[in-house]
Amino acid sequence: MSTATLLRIALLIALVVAFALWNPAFISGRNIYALTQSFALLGLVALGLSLTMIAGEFDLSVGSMVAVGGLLTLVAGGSNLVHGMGVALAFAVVIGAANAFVVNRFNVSSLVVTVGSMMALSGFAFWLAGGKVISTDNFDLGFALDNPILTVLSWRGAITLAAFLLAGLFMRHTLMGRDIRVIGSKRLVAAASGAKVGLSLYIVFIVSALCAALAGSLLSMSLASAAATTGNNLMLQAVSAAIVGGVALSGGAGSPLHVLIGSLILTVMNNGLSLMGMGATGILFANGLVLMGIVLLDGQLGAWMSERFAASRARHSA
Amino acid sequence: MNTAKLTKLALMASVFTGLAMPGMAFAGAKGSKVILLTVSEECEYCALHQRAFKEVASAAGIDLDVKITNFDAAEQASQVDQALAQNPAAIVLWPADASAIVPSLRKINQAGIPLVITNSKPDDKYADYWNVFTGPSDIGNGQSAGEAMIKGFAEKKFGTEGKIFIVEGVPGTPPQIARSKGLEEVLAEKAKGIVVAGKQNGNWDQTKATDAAAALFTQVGPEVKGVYAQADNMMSGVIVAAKRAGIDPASLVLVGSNCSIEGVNQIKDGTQYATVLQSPIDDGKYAAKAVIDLLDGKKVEKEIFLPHEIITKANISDCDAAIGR
Repeated sequence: MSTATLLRIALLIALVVAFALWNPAFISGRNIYALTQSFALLGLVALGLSLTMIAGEFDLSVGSMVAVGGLLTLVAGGSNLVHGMGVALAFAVVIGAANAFVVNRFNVSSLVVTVGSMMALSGFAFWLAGGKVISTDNFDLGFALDNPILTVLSWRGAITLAAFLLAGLFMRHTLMGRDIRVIGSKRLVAAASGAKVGLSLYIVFIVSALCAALAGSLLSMSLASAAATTGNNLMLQAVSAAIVGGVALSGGAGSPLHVLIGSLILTVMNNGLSLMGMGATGILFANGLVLMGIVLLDGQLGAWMSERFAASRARHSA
Repeated sequence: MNTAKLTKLALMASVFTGLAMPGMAFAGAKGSKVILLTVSEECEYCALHQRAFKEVASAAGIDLDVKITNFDAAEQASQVDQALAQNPAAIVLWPADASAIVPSLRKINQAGIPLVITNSKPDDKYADYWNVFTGPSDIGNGQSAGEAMIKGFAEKKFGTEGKIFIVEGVPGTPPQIARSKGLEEVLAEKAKGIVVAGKQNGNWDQTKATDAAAALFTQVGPEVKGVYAQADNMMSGVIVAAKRAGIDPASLVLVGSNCSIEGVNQIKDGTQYATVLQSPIDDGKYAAKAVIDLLDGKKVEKEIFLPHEIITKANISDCDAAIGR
């Protein structure tokens, strides 16, 4: 494990200890449950988005996809929400593939392509919602998903954790996972050496859209309602989680484990600050500070510490 | 009275309290932990609501914890989870979204924690989940607007006949539906001759309201005698549209709502006839008073609505006081 990852784990532990000392309620089962509920939403979106970042691309449309995923689940699902979820996920595959097709076929920057799909999806969400909040009286599935399992986790949280596990195994142990990382850092070299650039792009964009739609779908079941404005801030939070976790904007660096740590750092901080009575704006401010701090740490302290480790290792081996 | 008798009495009392609100125990307000979950501190109304709530709660010795979202329903749901983890004596909640909050209300109810809903009432079919609702009545707000319209017609010597139009909020939202309904009920009952000749949505937005009013001035024609805009900022749009159409706004009976700064200024300079007061300070105070009474074990009405006073140039100072200016 790299120095940067260790630093992040240390930060996460320090945050947990500090909040627990300040208010023991922080580590109560119910509060950890509240924390994992927030993580269930943010983590899933951040996971999908970070895969595109690792591949050297970017999916700005995840926030709108969360809204569309939630709305499709209720609108297309009617009384059968599982059916609605199927429609939402199928729709996400189409959008993810369309994003990948344009990026790959026409060699357009994914930032531009996904700004387009973000706006189109947002328009679609407003059309689906018809200017209202769509709600359902079918609470059962939502309650089942939010029911605590092992006190601190709900099925919604467990699904997000399972997604991290699957993505982690995929990125670490498959050839395609390695291709995705390589095309993120040196695409031409990767293509020349036989990495499947096109297929990798399809996979990351489809997974990104799927994760966002799944997050939106599960959220709409949990809230028994969906609105076109849901997920407005989620894209930025998800980018923050990925960067805090150590995924590079330039691509090629990071892994699902890193995103897991980044998402946890943000959710722990948000939950702890909220417990301290800080409002949404204060928490946003704190998020910004941590993001900037982490970036600086990566640039300066990280490099300095790596050098020190290298020097000390060299001394020991000499 | 010996200890055994006292215990028996206390037990009986708790049984009766239990009958009133199954599964809920009321500990007395002083020193009790109450969590206020509110929507924002950026909007003026929200900030005044919160300040008034805090003042009354602090005077009663409540140990208050405030959690603020930014009108984010998902975040509020997770704040409810966190609030339940803190096991408060009562929760006061301003729903970020009146539909999305319902599953969280059920959770609070299942945890047996007394709940006061403030400002935005979820659908009445879930009313079992909360103990008290305090806040504005949109029907009442519209009814006051209707009374103001009739009063304005009389003052401007229009008699009891003429055409008016309505600029409404976002379609499908409870205030949009209920405010128009309230106004139309009062007109139907007290002034059948005043006819609503057209309605369009201004979406609570001044620019959108200007477009809506421009279309309505064209549609209804020069015989329009009054306009009801469901919010004062939309009335600013109506005034712009009237001027562009060559109509003097002061010659019309313009009735707005909310007593917001735009309305106050327009009433003071004579372009707007009236507005309907909905005081954020009262809104906050009513919620605090309800939770205090609830914790003190007093009988509290299930619904407590704010008064909706009609404000004209004559009593504009009431508006300033209610807004805290």
